[in-house]
Amino acid sequence: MLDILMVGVIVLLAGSMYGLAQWSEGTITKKSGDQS
Amino acid sequence: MVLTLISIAITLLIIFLLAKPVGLYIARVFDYQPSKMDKFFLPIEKLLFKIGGVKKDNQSWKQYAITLVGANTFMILLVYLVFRFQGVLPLNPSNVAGMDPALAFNTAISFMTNTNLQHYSGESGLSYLSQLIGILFTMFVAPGTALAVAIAFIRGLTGKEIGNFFVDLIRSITRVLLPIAFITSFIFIALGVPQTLDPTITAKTMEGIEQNIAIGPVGSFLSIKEVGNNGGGFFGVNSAHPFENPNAKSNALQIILMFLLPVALPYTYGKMVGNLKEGRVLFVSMAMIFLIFLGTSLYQEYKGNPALNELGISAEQGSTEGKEVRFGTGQSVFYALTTTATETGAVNTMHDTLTPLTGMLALSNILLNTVFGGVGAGFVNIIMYVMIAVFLSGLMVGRTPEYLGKKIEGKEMKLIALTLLISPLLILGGSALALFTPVGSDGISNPGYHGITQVLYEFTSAAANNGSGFEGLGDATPFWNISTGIVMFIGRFFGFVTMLAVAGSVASKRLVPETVGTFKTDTSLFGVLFIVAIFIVGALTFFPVLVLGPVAEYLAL
Repeated sequence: MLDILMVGVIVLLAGSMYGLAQWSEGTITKKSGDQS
Repeated sequence: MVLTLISIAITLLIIFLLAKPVGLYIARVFDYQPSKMDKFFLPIEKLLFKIGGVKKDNQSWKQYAITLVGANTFMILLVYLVFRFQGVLPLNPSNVAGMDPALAFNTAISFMTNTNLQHYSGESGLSYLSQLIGILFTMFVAPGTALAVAIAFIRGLTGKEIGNFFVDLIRSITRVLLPIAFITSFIFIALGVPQTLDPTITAKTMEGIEQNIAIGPVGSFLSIKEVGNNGGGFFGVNSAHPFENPNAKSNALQIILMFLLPVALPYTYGKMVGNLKEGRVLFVSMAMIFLIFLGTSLYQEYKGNPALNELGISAEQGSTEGKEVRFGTGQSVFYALTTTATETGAVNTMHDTLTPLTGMLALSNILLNTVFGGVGAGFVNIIMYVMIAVFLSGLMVGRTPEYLGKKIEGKEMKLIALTLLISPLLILGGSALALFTPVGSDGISNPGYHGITQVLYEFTSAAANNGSGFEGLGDATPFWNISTGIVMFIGRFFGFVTMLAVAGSVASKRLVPETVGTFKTDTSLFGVLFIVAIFIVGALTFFPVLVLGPVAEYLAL
């Protein structure tokens, strides 16, 4: 049970880095005049 | 003391002389320039590419970042399984049991993030298979990953293609880490470090008691531990153990290896951006910070512990508490400052017993993570501070900041600011959580100011991927294993992703022609501004907590 939890946390952390990469891409491709 | 200072000066001279040739060699490796060694390396690399099914196409920054996080996560999971099942796997002559899940979680992340924070005792907690695959394998892959990121980052800043993560990783290992580690392993073995797969020796002491003397493949482990800025010890007490650091020569070689790649990277950078002066300014700036920290620490430590001095105990040898007699005060301080500046984490003395201000400077090295810093990751951090200095100077003169002929705009600064903030969030947030909950504060062995430093050091070491322990903290509990595991993962990969995005953004920009108004970044004036930026940001962020810990302890002595 604890193994599933530990593996789950590792996968969740990796997933959050994927989300960060997506957000970073949005940040750098946003034009300077964009308000959103 | 004079002889010690001379030996420190000679070691530093060797390190500084090696910086440029090694840096230029690394630049040649990643510029794919033909080499006489190609005959030897290319077949190995081709084989590895074939086995891994690697396509050598250039990647975008995002593909590069996702590939590196994905590959590292896969390896963390693999190593986790090796630790959990080491009890039933081969190469386990001492019948070591499988690791507890939380400890395996911490250890797998620790080694794959180049942290090597060890909440287990190396010689008794791991089988040989775990040492060789779970630890030794990650000791090559983790610094290789960081070196690859640094190179991709530099390429992005210069407007070149980012490259391919797997190609960079494999070249980092085959052409940089492996050759240095291979040669120096033999030197360590010649200096008395064991290299064997025989089981633990059981000896009978003069009192008739049985004593288990751990041995193993220490020589091959030691060289990559230092040159890869890994720092994890084969033995629980790391390089304080006589088999892991037998004498003054092995001690000096370990210090040289810890510094080798971090001091070389500014020159690699200078070469790759086409202006060696850009790299030299950074090298000199960081060397100055290191020398000031080292000089202050040596002075503090040789003064001795004021509380003991008052009792009339001689401080002729300095403050010797917690230090190995064969290294003495000077070499212990030199090692402590080196291991923290280069984010290695190996120790030959217990940092818990350093006098408060020396402990604070060792801790500050880790907090700043820019005094050379760990292989690759530290250099990316350094360029982040360079961009902050460029941005601040741009604001002061009222010009859009430019770096290497590219404009640095709000979107890059947004990512840099976020990267800068994640470190204090992990360190101060983690420390606050530990200090305010019994599961965290129960681990403190020395309550009061020193206890605050113990907790702060642990989270700082985890977040900056240093891995050294202040020691004295009871950290082998689920709380510490899980919390520092999460901190190590985020501390490692968050900055890689955001700074690769910065590199990708800069790479896509047009070159701005240099004018008389362009702020030059290859001058000593910029070096001063760079140092000021580091200290302003570092002091604003961490000074209050340092006052609560080591500064208060110093004043109380």
